[in-house]
Amino acid sequence: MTADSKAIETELAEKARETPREAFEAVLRLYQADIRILTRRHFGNSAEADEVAQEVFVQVYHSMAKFRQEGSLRGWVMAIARNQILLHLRNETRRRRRNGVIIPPEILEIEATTIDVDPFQHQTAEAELHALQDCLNRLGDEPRALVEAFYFLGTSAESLAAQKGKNAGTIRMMLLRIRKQLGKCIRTKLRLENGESHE
Amino acid sequence: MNEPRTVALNLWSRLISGETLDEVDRQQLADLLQQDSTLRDEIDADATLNALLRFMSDPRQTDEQFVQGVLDQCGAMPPRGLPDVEVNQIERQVPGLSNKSDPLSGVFESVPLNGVQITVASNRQRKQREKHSKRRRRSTWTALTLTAAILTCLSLAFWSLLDKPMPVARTNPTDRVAQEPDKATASIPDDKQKTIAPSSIAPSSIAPGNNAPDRQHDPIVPLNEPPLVEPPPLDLTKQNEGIAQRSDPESLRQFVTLTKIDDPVWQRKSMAGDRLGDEIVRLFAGSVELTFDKGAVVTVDGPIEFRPLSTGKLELRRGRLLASVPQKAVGFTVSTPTSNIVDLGTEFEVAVNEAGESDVQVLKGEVEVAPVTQDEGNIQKWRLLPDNFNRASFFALPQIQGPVPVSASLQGRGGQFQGFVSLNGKTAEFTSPEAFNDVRRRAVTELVRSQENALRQWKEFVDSMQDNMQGTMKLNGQEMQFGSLQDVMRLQNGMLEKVLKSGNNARDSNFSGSININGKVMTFTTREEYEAARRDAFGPAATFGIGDVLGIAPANR
Repeated sequence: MTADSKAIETELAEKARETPREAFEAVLRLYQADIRILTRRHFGNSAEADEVAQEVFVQVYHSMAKFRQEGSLRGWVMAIARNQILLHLRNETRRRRRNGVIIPPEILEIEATTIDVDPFQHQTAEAELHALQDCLNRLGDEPRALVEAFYFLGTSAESLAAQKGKNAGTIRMMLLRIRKQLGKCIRTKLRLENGESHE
Repeated sequence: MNEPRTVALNLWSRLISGETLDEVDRQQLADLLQQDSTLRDEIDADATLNALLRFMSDPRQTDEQFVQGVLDQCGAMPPRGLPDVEVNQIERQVPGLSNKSDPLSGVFESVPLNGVQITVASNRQRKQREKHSKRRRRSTWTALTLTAAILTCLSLAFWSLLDKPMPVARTNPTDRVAQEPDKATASIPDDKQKTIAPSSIAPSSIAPGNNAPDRQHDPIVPLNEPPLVEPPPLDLTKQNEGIAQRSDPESLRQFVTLTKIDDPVWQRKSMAGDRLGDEIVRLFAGSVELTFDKGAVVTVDGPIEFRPLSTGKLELRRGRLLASVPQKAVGFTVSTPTSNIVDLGTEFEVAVNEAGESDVQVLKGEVEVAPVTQDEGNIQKWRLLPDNFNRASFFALPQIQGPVPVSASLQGRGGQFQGFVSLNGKTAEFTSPEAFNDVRRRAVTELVRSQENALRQWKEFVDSMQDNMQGTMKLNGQEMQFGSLQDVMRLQNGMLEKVLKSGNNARDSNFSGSININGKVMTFTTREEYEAARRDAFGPAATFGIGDVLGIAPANR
């Protein structure tokens, strides 16, 4: 966490005691992207992911006055999110009502200890998204076209495979490699922005 | 050849691209990730990247729309206090997540209760639901009142015609709690429990595994409530209905006193001094101290679901409790979906997670623990002591047909470990958590995959472990001796790591050595020959966690 975000958190934590409603709105705006990205890790359906994210913030709203300034505010919000995601995953699994893919907890661990250990070292989502945009622009033509087709145009791996005369598995692995490349680029960018010269 | 990493990445990329994996593939992916922390990190990073890309490309809802949606939803609610139960039960779970000082924290997640519906939909949906619910309640009450009035009039008229006294309340035939003797209570009669004393208790005196619920084969049907598959919305009248339905003397008997209550959130209005009997209790948040008539004091923290069964027995379905049992209440039993804990004069803590897995820790005195198993004739029991093995974990029973592997582990303060996997009356024992976890997971996976084959392999595996396996194994000049299959597992992996670290790739032609087992010597000069020798030496055991280490680089293990 950067010094700036720590200062914001401290201010918000103090505010939470006196004007919880106001503090809540600030927290919501600060972390909405983080939580919506977090829920998208587990829910293949974006509407469902946002529904869970909304539930998370309702919990945050009700608990604002109870936040103690001992840990990080982001960590606290993330813990609530983790709980809500688990709850939703279990309820959905139990009901067998799956809208889109659910990535079960046994595959994608969401333990309290790892929830904050994101690949980008506690940056807020805003910084990550910014870096991602830059990194996408730096991709070569072919990988960028593939990302755009798959994510922005919603073309399935099977359709892309048919278009390119490859099999779907190859396309999925290509996407995996591109994401890896993007992750590396984002990390480098964020480190440079934080003034770190190397790993 | 498909390396485990390639297999895992393939499965992962299918899953993340929108494909639904079947259970076997899901389990395989989970297993592969469990074995390889580097791969797990890689997948974790990929999941985040995928989520970032999806978030960035999602045109459905802008940030501002999302923020506004949440604000609208919260606008109607006050931010403090307990505005409605629906939200507060979750609110109280959060501190539990960060309770690092809790000895059981981290082992079991603080999980919500099964039967509780917590739905936070959009504001409009919420209002509509409330409106419908009000209408429904109003019309239901009107109908009920009218029906009750008509029935009362008819009954009065009927009984006055017959000139007979009014009948006493009879048990509802559909109410199984009232109709049938409770299996769990029946297996340990109260008078038998009285005879249990710390010095005289023998394993055979403990109730066998059939006294606890087996979720798979003898599922506990929530008798006074709708099935758990569609959890009911909170209804404050529900709990009282549940008690009121039971009208036979035994089930009406109350044997627990609420001696302390600390801000409880549950489906009842209670105060200190209230009494409880055999009923399912769900506490969403807060804390309650229960004193059983025999003297055991149990503190429960929400969220928890439990059922007092008798003066000396409690069933813990989910959640965590602390039991302090004075000498006069020795024999107090807590049953969970996967274990039975019998107190021998002590203080202990039990936690049960959503999957029914249980964790027991003795703080003072002594407890006896046993897993729940179908195999009643072969139940293993262990005693936990604070300064020896003080903690036991019982793992979930897989949802499969036929014999189910039962696995449990014991842990001591000094890092001692013993793991047990039992199947079909045969038990494999482990001293390393890694080997135990590996075999435990594989036993389940193999059973899901091919039960008949797995049962045969399991028998052969355990038989081979029981052999007095003596021998040496030599790899690239390094020699080790082993006296058991566990030694082989440990030493083989260690030796292979050394071989791989020293730069000799397992595939290279200079990979050579020998296995000398019970006097039979097998030599090898290539990886393939090594694999053949290993299979020959260790037989089917190779399928249960011994083999396949060569395909994984040490750093990934």
